[in-house]
Amino acid sequence: MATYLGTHGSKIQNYTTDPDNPNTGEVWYNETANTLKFQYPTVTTSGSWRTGGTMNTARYGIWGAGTYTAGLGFGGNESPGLSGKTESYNGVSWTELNDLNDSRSGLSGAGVTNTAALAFGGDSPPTTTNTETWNGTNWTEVNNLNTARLDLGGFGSNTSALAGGGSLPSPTTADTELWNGTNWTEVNNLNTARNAVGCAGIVNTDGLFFGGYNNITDTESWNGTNWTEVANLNTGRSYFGGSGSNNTSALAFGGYVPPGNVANTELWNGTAWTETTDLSGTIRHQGSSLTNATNALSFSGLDPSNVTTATEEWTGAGASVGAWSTGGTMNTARSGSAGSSAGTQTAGLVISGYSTTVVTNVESYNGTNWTEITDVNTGRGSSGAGAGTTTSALFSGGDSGSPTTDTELWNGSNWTEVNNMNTSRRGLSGFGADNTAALAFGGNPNPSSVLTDTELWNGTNWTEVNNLNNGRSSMSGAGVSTVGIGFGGFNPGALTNTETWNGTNWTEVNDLNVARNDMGGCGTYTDALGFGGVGPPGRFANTEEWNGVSWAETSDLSTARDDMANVLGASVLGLCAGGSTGSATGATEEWSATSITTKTVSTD
Amino acid sequence: MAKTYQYCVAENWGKGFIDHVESQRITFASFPGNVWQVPAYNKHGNLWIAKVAGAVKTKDEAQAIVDAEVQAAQATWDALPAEEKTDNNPRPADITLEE
Repeated sequence: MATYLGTHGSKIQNYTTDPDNPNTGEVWYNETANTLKFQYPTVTTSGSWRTGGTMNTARYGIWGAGTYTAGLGFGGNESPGLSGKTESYNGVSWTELNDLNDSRSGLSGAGVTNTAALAFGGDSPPTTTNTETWNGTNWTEVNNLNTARLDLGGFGSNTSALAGGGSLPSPTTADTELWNGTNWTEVNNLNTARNAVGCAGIVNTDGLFFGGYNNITDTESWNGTNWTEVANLNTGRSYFGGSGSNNTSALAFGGYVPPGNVANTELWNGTAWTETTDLSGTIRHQGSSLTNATNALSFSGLDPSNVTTATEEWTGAGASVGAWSTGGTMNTARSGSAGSSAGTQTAGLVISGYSTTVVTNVESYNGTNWTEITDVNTGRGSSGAGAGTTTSALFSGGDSGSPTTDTELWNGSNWTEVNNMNTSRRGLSGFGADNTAALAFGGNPNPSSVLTDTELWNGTNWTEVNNLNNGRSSMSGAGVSTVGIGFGGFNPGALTNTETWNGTNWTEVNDLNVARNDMGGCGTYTDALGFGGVGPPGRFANTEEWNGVSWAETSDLSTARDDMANVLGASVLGLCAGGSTGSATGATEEWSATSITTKTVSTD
Repeated sequence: MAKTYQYCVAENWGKGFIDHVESQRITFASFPGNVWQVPAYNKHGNLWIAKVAGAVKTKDEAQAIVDAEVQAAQATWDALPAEEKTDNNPRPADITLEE
C-alpha cells in the first residue's frame, strides 16, 4: 500500500497545537482537534491595474509583444504621422530602440519577449503585407503576408505566429495565415470575418481571438488547425487590449464601444468571460503585452480624444497579500524620532525624539524586544534625520529647543559629535547606508517657511547638493545616498508629491494617493512603503506601496499614527516604530509583504 | 440595524498582540483609550478578542472611552502656546465610532 512517506518522502508530524511558524506547504496533524492542516500563502482574490512608466512617444494603433516586465511596443500613429518607433519596457520604464523599417499603424505582431518579435501588416499606407522580425536590436524585413490588411489580429512568437482577420481595407476578412519562422501559409479561416480584435497566444497552434469592430462579442478558439466558436465577451468592443498565453487563459481590456471608450476588463478561463477590475481610465487603440493573462500591460492609445503615453500594469488574482502585525513595544514612548534607515525588521535603531519632553534615549530592536543603548549627546524632537544601521548610524538636524545643524555619529558603541549640517532645520528627512554616506533633505528653519535644501554626508562633511523640486517639511523617504525616494510632507498643508533622487538630482514622479505629512517610510527607490501620517481629516493608518513607478494602496496599520521613526527596514519586512496617536506611543508594527494562512483539510 | 463592528478594550502588549495571519484575515483599527475595533459577527474577530482578553464594550461604551481621551488631548492642545498650534500640529479631532 502506498504511504504518504513513500510518496512524499516525509512523515506527517503530529502536534497537540498548531506549530508557531510552519513553512509554506507544510502539512501536519493537530491531534487535539483531530484535523489535518496545511500552510499556504495568502494571495489576492481579484486582480488590479496600476500606473506604469509612461512611453516616450504617444501614439495609437500601436502593437505590442512580450511580458509585463519585458514588453515591447512598436509602430502606430503619432497623430499626425505614422510611427516606426520601437520602445522596450523593463517593468519600470520605456526605452527607445531602433525603428521599424516600414512605419505603419493598425499593424499586428507576435513575440514572447522584448528581444524577439515579429511585426506584420498594417497601414503604411497603402495596406501592407510587410513582415519584419526583431532580434532585440534591429528590425529585418522577411517574407511578406499573402494578404495585405490593416487592423488585423495576431499572436505567437517570431518563429511561430498567426495572423487573422483585418480590413483590406474594405471589406473585413476572415483570412488566417501561419508563420513558421520563414514563410506565411494560408490556413482555415475564422468563422466570423472581423477587424480590431483582441488576441492571446504564444505559439501558432493554440490561441484566442475575441471581439472586433461593430461591437462583436464573438470569441473563437484556435487549435492549430481550426477556429471554434466559444462563449462570447460580455461587452462587445473593438480596438482594445488583449493578453493571454493560450486558448484557455486570456484578458480583454479597454476598447471602443460607440460612442466612446470603455475601461472594462474581462478574464477568460477557457469556458467563459468574467468581468473583473476595470482599467483606471478608458482607453482604445492601445498596445498590449500579448502573452499572459496574469501580468499584462496596456500602453499608449486614445484616452478617449488625446493620444497618450500612459501605461497600466495588470496583476491578476494570486498576488501576495501583505499585512502589519504588532511588534515589541519600545521602553520609551515617543514621536519625532529618527531611525536607522538601513536597519532591518530584526536590527534597527530609534534615536531620540519627543516623549513628554525631548528625550536622548536610543533603543535597539532585535525583532522581538527593544533594548536601551547609549544615549545621544543632544536630544532632539521634530524628526531629526537618521541613517545607517545598528552598528553604523548618523543622526542630524531636528529641534533641540530651536532648529539645529548638530550631527552625531554612532559606531556601535558611542555617539560622537561630528561636523554639522550647513543649514539648521527641523522636520527634515534623511537616509543612508551607514555613517559614511547619507542624504538629508527638506525641513523648516522656522514655522513659516520650508526648505528645498539637500545635503550629502561623505563620512566627514555635509555638502550642499541639488535641491528638492518642492520645498517641504515633515516628508518621508527611503533609500541610500545615491538613489532614493522622498514623499509626502507639508507646505503648508499635507502633500502627495513624490520625488526620486538619482545621486545628482531630484525628479518629480507619480504622487501618493493620500496627501499627508509625517509618514513613515522604508525600502528602496524602486520598492518602498509609505504608511501612517497626518493631514485632513486627521491621522492615517493608510499604507501605500511604491513599485518604482506608482503608489498603490495596501493593508492599513492597525493604529493610525504620525511622526513615527522615519525610514526603517526593507519594503518587504518593514518596521513602524512609535509616533503620535495624539500623544507619544511606544507601539510598533511589523510589515510582511507576504503572509500565510493555516487551512484545515476539508473532509466534506 | 445590524452591526458592522464590535469593540473591546485591550492593552497592546507588543509582539504577537496582532499577528500577520490575524491582520490578513480581518481589519483592525485602534482608538484612544486602548479601544480596538474588529468586524462584528466574525469568527476571527471573536477569536482575537478572546486571545487578547479584550473587555468587550458596546459601541456607546467604547465611544464614551474615546470621547474622554480625545477631550483630554484637546484640553492639552488648548493649553499649548499659540506658536505651537500650527497647521502641522492640529487640534485633536473628535472621533465618531461606527456602529
